[in-house]
This record gives sequence, C-alpha cells and structure tokens, in this order.
Amino acid sequence: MDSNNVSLIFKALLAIFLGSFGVIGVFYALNILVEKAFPERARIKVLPWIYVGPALLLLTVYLIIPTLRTVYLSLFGPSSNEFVGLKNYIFVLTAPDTLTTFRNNLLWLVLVTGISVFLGLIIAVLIDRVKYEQVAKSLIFLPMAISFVGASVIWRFIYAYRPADAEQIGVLNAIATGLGFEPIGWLVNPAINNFALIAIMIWLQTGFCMVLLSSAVKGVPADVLEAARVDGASEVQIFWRIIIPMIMPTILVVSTTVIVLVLKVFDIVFVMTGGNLGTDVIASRMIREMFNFRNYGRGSAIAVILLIAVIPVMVANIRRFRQQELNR
Amino acid sequence: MSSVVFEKVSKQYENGYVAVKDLNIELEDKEFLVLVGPSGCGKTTSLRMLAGLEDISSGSIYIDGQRVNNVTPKDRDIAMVFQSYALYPHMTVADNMGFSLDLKGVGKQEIRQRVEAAAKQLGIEQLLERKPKQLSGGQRQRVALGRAIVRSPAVFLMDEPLSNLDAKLRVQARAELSELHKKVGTTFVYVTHDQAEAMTMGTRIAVMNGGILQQIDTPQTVYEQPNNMFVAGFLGSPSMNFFSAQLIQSEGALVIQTDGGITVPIPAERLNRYSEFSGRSVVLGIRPEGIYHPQCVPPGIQPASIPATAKVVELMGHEVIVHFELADGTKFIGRLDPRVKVTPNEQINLQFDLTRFHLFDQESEQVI
Repeated sequence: MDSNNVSLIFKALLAIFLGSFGVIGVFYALNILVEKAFPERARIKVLPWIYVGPALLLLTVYLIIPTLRTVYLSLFGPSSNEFVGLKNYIFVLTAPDTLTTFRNNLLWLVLVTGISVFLGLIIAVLIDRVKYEQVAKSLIFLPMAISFVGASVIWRFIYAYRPADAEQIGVLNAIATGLGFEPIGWLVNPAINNFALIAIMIWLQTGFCMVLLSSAVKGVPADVLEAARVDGASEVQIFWRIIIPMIMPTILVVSTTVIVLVLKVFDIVFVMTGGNLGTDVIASRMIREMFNFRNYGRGSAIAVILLIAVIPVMVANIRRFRQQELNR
Repeated sequence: MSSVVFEKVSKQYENGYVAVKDLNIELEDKEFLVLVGPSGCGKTTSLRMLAGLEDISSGSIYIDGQRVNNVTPKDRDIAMVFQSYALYPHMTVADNMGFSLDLKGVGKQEIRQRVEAAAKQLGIEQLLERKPKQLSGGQRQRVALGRAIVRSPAVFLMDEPLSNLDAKLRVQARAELSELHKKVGTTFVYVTHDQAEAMTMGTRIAVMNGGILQQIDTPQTVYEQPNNMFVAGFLGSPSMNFFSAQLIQSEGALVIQTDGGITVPIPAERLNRYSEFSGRSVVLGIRPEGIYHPQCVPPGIQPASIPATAKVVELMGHEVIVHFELADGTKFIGRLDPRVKVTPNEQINLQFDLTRFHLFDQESEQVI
C-alpha cells in the first residue's frame, strides 16, 4: 500500500470522526449556549429550534434554494441570460423527443410498479410456505444491494449482442442461438429495448417489494386465516378477500415508493443505451439537455415537470402514513 | 342431527411430540361437551382436528356418521369461535358475520336477514356497521359468536372463547352461552382450562391430561366420582387434599392409616369395596368441603375426628379457607363455615366426612 492510499484512508477516518462527533459537539455546544444565555421560559421555545435548525438549514441550502433556482432557470434560454417565459415548457411538452420520454416513463411506471409489486406479493405469500424461507428470501432480495449502475453493467452482458456468425457472449442470445433462433438485438430493437430496460428495474425492485410485503403477510394473524378457512373460503378467496385487504396499507406504501423511484429512474437508461433508440426517460433527457446540449432552460423545465409529477405521490404517501399513525 | 365421534384419534407432530393419544369420544346430537385440562393437555389440538385445521395422525373423526379425516374445514359444516375471536379487521360487523354465507353464494337480501336475526339474538344490532377495532372485548366476543350462529352449523366449536373477558363479563357470558346452546339446539364442543366453565356449561365434560382422556362424564359424576388422582385434583378449588396412607387390618377392622399417623376407619358400606386391597399403599383424598369445624357438623355425615393446627386463615365472605397442618407437618386445606371463628395457630378437632372420601391406588393413581 503506498503512502497516498494511507493518507486517503486517514483522511476518510478523520472525516467520519469529525462528521459524527462534530455534529454531536455542535448540538452540545448550542445546548449549553441556550441554557446559559436565555431565561428558563424562553429556553423552552428556543431549544427545539437549536435541534431542528441545522437540519432545516441544510435542507434549505441543498434542497429548497436549488429547487427555486431551477424553477427560475426554466424560464430562461439555454445559457440562462434571456427570459423566454414558458417557451421551454411548451417545447418540452410538444417536441416529439420529449414526448417519447413521457411515454416511456409512463410505460416504466405502469410496468415496473405493477409487476414488481405483484411479483413481490406473490413471492411473499408463497415464500411463507417454503422450508428454506430465509435463504430464498435473501436470494430474491440480493439485487437490492446492487447499485443501478452495477446492475446495468451486469445486464449489458446478459443482453450482449454479436452478429449471427460470431460467438454469443450474452446469456440470452446464447440461449436464443442455442435453440436455433437468430440473435436478438435486445437493446437496439425499438420494439423491445424499453422492455429490456424495464426488466432490469423489476429485477432490482421485486426483492424490496417482497421483503416489505412478506412482513405484512406474516403480520396477518394465523387464526384470522383459520377462521376464514372454517368460514368456507378457498386459499384463493383468502388471498383476495382477507390477505390483500389486510395488507393494503403496506401495498400502497410499497407502490408509492416504487413509483417515486421509477419517476426518477436515470442510471439504467444512461448506462445501457444512453437514452438513444427511443429509450429516453425524463431524468436522462434532463441530463442530456443540461450537459450534452448545454440547454439549461430546457433541462430545468424537465426537472420542474418531474418534480410536479412526484409531488402528488409524495403527498398521498404522507397522508396515508399519517392516517396509519392515527389508526394505531 | 349432528353426532361427533372420535375413534382412536392420535396426533403426533413431526418432531415426535404426541399431543393426543388414542382419543375415544362419542358425542350425541345437542350435547355440550367441554374439553378441559391444563395447558398442553391436547384439548385444543383435539378441537382443531375436529375443525380440520390440524391433520389427524391416526384414527378417525366422524361427524354425522361421515368420516371427515380428509374433508376440508369448509366442507365439515362446523363453525368455530376462536380465543382471539379472529374477526376480520377490514370488514364491518355485518360483513364479518355474513362472510361465510357470502362465500356460499347466499343472496344479499337473505344474508342481511340472517345477520340481523343473529345480531338481535345477541343484542348487537346497533353494532352492525362498526369495524371490530371500534368494539369492546365483550362486543367482539359476541360478534365472534354471531359469526358462528349465522351459519347454523352442525357443530359449534369453541376454543376458550371467554378467556379474554374480565371476570364479571365471563360469568355473564357463561350463562348466555348455556342459554344459546339450548336455543340453537346444536352440538357444542367447548375447550377451556377453566373448571368453573366446564362445571357450569357442559352436559358432559372430558378431562384430559398429557394427551390422554382421563374421564368423560356429567360434571357431577366427574366431580363426585373421579376416576383417578389427576381428575380428583384438577376439578374443585381449592383442590382435593391427598394423604398418602396404608390400608390395614387393625383390631379386626379395616382402617386407613396415613403416613402422618391419622387412623380413619372404613365405613361399613365400603368394606366390601376395599377389603381386597388390604395391605396396599393408597392415597386418601378428601375435598376441602368435606372437612368440618366441630361446632358446625351438619346432620347426615359420618364424622371422623382429626386434630390439626390452623396456620393460615383466608376469609372469603361466604366461606373461610383454612390451611391446616397435622402434627407431622402434613398440610391440607379446609373450607369452613364463616360463622365459626378460626384463629391462626388454633388447635381444632376437625371432622372429616367419611361419606365423601376417595381412595386411590398409590402406584397407579387410579381410584379403587
């Protein structure tokens, strides 16, 4: 190990140390300050702000100000010096290229959310009856641990395409040619490339859905299921009329979480196709407008649209969460 | 018509544990059978096998003469009330009660009628649109009962349905259940570990222990003529006093001589019964209510004097529970009339009622 690495590791440890203990130190110091500087009555009012304050400050600097600035920039031209009004929005909402991204995002939204939640649910119910449940669960959950970029690299090999006369290095095409078919251009054929990308996200998210839904399924008391069995319900009826309604709150939370994730999807598309060949989605389009085409106005307008699309889902999620807390 | 028969039913779990062994019970129509015993005695397992929620390892169960070993719960025409009530939390009370009818394809109108009729019977009409969460424990218990009644099943199964109620409600619910049994006129199988429930509700009670049926008979018979020491000790509170003893001939008469040195003569009418056991080690059993204070001896008993020291006196109001000690330190309990005053450390010449004692073989613990 050369000295450069050692100093890097040292710096990292120092950063962790300063970060963790620095924060505690800041809170501690502020607490002492408040106790010394304010009379008791005022203290009660000031103290909460001391603790919430740093978080609010960070959120304001790193989230709220950039958001406002993005909205502002979206009303200007490519290099942010001429005011263009809603022109960027009109372009984004009418140009065929960006309309494709909206269509794709919708496709992602429906397929990823629908399939991963549905598969997660089925697996959660079935896995409850498997002998080696923990092992099976871990296997299905494993993809969650892989970053989107890492997963994309893996799937590039799975989808790899070589001309018919060359040796296939992609698993899928190896199977296809092995069975006597022509190799398929999974990522270049516009009829299927979107689905090929969506499959990756489903592979990544099913485990997440399964784990949360599985704990919800386990939360359904055994005697309620037995009562239903005695009442004359078949296993399928128990699934639809007892289990599903009882775990509905979890299904909704899982769905909205996946929806938000899918709305923001970028890495998979960026790594696999770069958004070419009709596979662009909103987030990758935004990056391309900003950094490839250097059009800050359009990029910001797409960002704002994405933000607006996410808001209702978040609101629904928070409301449901509050409702659940109330029902406790 | 709904008879229930357990024929040599056993249940062995995969880990080898035998929960129920060779259970034989024949239940006639309209009986109220209470399965009672300590926890882990196999009573709930037996009920669950009857319900079809648990496989039968060997033997057969018949409902109305039909062998149901391989019949699914829904086709057994049974209804079950669970200890936790197991109501469907996402459905209203009305939907909870009508669920089984809905699954059977009964029309909405008729479901409504039958649910309302059952609700009226249980006094829960005003709760029909509520969710289980909004109900009290007693109300939930009624809904669970209602869910069973609505179906008018051949057999009602109940797994400790009153154990989650507070003491006062439980007494009330006990009476209501007995009344319900008379009204619906169906076979009830009821599991409990509470002997008061068993004694008050059952037309017959089956006492189980360690997966084995100990005795099955009317509550009175089981109480007055227990088959063995387990049954004798399980029913009754405080439970029966046991004294290990020898059955011996003394001066030409058959007597019981306890290890503590008390000698009790065998009454003439039991001489025939016990004479063949002369010389055996036995256990003398006598219930706390068979012990009297010398000042309160009712007519018609055969008193035998036993001197003892009162140690602890518990005044219950309608009775006094006194913990006594014999000269050798043997402890036992008497239930005395509260009108006589007993003070701790007082020497009393207690009177044991010899018309109501039990003798068990010390080795087999069976009654002799």
